[in-house]
Amino acid sequence: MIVLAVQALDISAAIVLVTAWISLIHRRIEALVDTYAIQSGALGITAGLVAYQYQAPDIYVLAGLTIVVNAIVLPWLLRRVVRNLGVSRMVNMYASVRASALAGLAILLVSVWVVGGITPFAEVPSAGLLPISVAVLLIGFFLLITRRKAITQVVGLLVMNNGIFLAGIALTYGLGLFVELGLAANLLVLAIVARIFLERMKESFDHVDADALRALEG
Amino acid sequence: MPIPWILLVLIVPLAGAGAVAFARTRDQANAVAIAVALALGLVVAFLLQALLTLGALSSYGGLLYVDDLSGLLLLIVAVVGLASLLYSVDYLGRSGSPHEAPLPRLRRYYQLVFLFLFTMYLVAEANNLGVLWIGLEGTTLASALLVGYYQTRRAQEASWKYLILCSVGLVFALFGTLLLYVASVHVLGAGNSELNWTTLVSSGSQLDPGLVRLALVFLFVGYGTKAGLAPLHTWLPDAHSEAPTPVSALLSGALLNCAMYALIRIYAITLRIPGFLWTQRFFLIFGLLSVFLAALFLFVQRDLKRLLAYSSVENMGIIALGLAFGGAIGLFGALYHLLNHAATKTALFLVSGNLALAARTKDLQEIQGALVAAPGTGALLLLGGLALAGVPPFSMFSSELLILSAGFSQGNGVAAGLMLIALVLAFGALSWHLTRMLLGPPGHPYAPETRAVVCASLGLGVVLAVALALGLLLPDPLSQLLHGAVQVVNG
Repeated sequence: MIVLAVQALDISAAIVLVTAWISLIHRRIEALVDTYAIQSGALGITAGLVAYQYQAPDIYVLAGLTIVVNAIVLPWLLRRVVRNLGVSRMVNMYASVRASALAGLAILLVSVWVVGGITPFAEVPSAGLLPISVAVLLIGFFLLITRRKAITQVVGLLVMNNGIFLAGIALTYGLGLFVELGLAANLLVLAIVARIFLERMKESFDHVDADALRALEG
Repeated sequence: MPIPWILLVLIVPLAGAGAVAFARTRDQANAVAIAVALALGLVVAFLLQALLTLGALSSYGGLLYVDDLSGLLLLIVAVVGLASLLYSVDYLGRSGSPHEAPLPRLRRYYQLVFLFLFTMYLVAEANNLGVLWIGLEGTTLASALLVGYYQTRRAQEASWKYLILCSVGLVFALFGTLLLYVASVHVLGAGNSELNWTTLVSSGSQLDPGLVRLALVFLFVGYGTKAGLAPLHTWLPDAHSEAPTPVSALLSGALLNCAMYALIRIYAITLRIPGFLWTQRFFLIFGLLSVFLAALFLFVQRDLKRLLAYSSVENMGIIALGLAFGGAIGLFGALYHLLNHAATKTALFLVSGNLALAARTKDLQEIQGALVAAPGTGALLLLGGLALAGVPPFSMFSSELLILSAGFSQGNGVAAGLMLIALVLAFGALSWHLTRMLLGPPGHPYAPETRAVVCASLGLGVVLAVALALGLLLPDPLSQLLHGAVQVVNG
């Protein structure tokens, strides 16, 4: 039975990593959001398999919430924001697509090289996924700092959260407190998105980027 | 049955947030604010008394835990919170106050401040590192809305920048916490208390150093962002300068210390790992970067509140250096400086609020001759400025001296020397700005000094008295608390 969850985790990690990398090369915001939805869905299904294996009700809850909130509700909200606020649908970047794609590969190599040496312990079956999680976390961070619009920054934050989620189920199988922490992290992002949505920071949407913020620097 | 002070500390602000929703008039809202401020002061005082007589207290099966280190943070949040709430009443609460807010906005303002206080008390009382993280995340949400309170474009941008940067920081910190959890489970096996600080400290010596080192990178980047350590401080000057003045005081005097407190808790755990020096190295690098960057930026500031914000970065760096030097003296100096900076900076932010009202501007170029034009405010600014610059007999001088001597006497001579240079630079920058603000003829007419603002002066008086008194003599209970806190960290 252990084999099932371990294999599912490996496949899921591959999907999460590839989708994280793909999110670096999208030029349209909707495509970026869709990629994020796929990534979250893969994580939610994996959490469901882990829950099935351990017969753990709280992980079932986590899996269900991940699928509902991260793979359906948040992407839907983000798409509505894009549509309703009349934001231009292109992803404005500081780094070109080609540079971003290469940076994504570099992040993966560095993560494997640096973190690969620090393998946690033999009794953790999926410990080898730690470098992958770090890579996803850092790719999300790269997305956040090289994309100019508020909405793409939020997607970057969400990808970072997925990196943590992956590490959470790979290293602890979602045991103990990380169920609650994962939910809290989601709440944070939900609150941010809701805030953008409610306050209709329409103007800020096209402009809340590092260029506009320069007024405050120094 | 003993009164559960630990719980009351958390219940009072929540109750206040509920009660203020029913306020029908501005006066009622203000009354709730004053009541909550005073009640919290009393509850924390009783809690500290219990702490000093009974030793560490815990509640809810070890979920909440208060030792001398938590006591120190509780004291800071209580003093800063009291001053800031009292000041708020005269700053934007009372009708006729300079930033008078319509009732619904005022209610929302008080609610957010109460929630902000609640999350900071939660940070101080959390035993579980996960709960601590949730508390810090809560502070971000509550305070980001307060930073954007004026809803001007600049305020919204500052608020967004603050929210995004600190959220990213907190995501990194969550990852660090996860790695710490994995290291802890390896030693203890899966139970329910692997993330409790008390458990981690007692099993610290067995934690895997490699994994803890990786965890530390993420924790430092995460909580360091929130603590305003350079080069992760970029949100701080914007947020501090755009927020309403009482909120700036809360951010600088209380919030930064909460994040620093989280780092100190981690530090205490890693001190138990034999031969593990990475935490000290991180503190040293971030500390030196912070003091130097801030000292240089202090010179070029043109805005009164940004000046104070950069000074906060500098002082966080000083505290980090005290922790890096370590030992009983270094730690005592760092924790003492935490307290001194909180009181002094809160006082200065509140004075700067008065000064900006009198001079009708925050622009440092235009504020001149404050001693002549607004003698009362000018005198307070002079006192607070001297205290902040670290002139004896003010308390910040003593703590800086302790930290420096810890550095020089414990083989960190180069770093201590560099810190001394940065201190001199910062002193120069601060006194240059102060001289220009205080002396000379006023360039333009000032508003008549604010009417008898009872609450604001009370709040200001509280923090200023604390800031001054601490330098003259350290009262016995306080000294006991500080020594206890050093014990908690050092073991």
